[in-house]
Amino acid sequence: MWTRISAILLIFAILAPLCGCEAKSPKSQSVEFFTMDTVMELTAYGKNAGTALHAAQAEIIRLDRLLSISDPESEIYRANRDGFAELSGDTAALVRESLALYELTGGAFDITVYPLMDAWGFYSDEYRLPSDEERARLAGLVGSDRLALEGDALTLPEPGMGIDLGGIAKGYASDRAAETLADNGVASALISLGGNIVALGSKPDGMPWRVAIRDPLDENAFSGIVRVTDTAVVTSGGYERCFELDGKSYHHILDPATGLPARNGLISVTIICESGILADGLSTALYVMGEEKALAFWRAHLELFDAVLVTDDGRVLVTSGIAEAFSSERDFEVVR
Amino acid sequence: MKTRAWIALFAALLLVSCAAAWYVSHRRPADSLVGVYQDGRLVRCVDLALAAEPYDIALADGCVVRVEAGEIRMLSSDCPDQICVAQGALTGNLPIVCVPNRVVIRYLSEPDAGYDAVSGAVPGN
Repeated sequence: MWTRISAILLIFAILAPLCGCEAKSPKSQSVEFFTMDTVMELTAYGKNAGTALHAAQAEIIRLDRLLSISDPESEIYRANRDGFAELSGDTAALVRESLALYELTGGAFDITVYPLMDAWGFYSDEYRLPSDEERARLAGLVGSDRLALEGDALTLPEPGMGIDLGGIAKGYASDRAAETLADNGVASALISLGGNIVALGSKPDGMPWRVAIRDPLDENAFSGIVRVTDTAVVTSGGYERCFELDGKSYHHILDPATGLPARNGLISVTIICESGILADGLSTALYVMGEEKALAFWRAHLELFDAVLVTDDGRVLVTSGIAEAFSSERDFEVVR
Repeated sequence: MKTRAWIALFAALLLVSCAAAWYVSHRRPADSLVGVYQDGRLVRCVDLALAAEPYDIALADGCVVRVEAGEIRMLSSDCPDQICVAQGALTGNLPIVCVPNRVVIRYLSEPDAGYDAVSGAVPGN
């Protein structure tokens, strides 16, 4: 009897390594697709992951059709063309959030930079340097405080005004994608909308997600890695879209106050907070503000977000709320 | 006879176990396999370790991918910004992306690089 039991145990001992060779965490499913002028990848874990991913993908594509500045059928295109539009609930909510961010950031985040972006050629890819006179004239069309949103009806008061939700749309879409995944029973997922990251829950093994922050000066290196759960991590940098003219580089993050690409000492801003839309908007706003104003803004709104800033002299600044979850091969300063 | 049968069984299982262990430890490294995707669909799988001679892969919409000397890169594209071409060879950190042509080139199965996602716009945006 004992001989047989020993034999069976021995068989299990021999076979065990075979079973363990490929031991992995629960299987993931992913979808990858192009919309909002970027590539998007959604990865989810769990039994209902496939259904949930397709629902989230459909939701993002639906939002793009509402928010695109180039699609003649979109609500934003019609608003820019006609100076007026009755918005659907999603678009109106997004414009409302944009106006709130404009107020919160003292105008550093402004969706009415559309005519300036157009003049620089960022929509047509036919880049050019607008003259001082042209920028001064277009500056008269910029300022979200001049937009009128009554109910869901948006009015752009002057001909030539326009809005661009590109600085916040992916953040909004990532929040909606996370909600859709959760509504479909997914508890663990990673959403990347062109590098805008939203982590839903934790990894299947219970550990936090590790989100690397791209080094603005070396696309094959990272400024650091932040460990997060149920959190958005969004980075803005001048490297994202830029062009060169007469040996000088110009990027797409325009300072609404000057109409010029923001050059205020920061070359990368990462915002870490619960909301994708807030992270998206603030990453642009703090980039425009520059180091001193950005840190003052953070100190005034500690409860809203944390940040990782990279300065043009190579320093990495990490706000104290996220410092414990941040690691880097480089030196970094913890800001308090 | 019974004892011989048990010994034979153990020997067979041990052989299978050793063979499997050898296969797992000597199989092709995962990071030599690269996927070329268009419209989110895998259109070509390339084993960089097996590419002895340089060759090109012509994709729909005017992209040509070059496989050469254990590397893969976008040789040419009709996209306006040419960011995908300028990026050069694929490295472990970032995929090669051509947004206008909806092409992504990336490792099929990346070893654990110490992170799960990268924040910051992907190249080609």
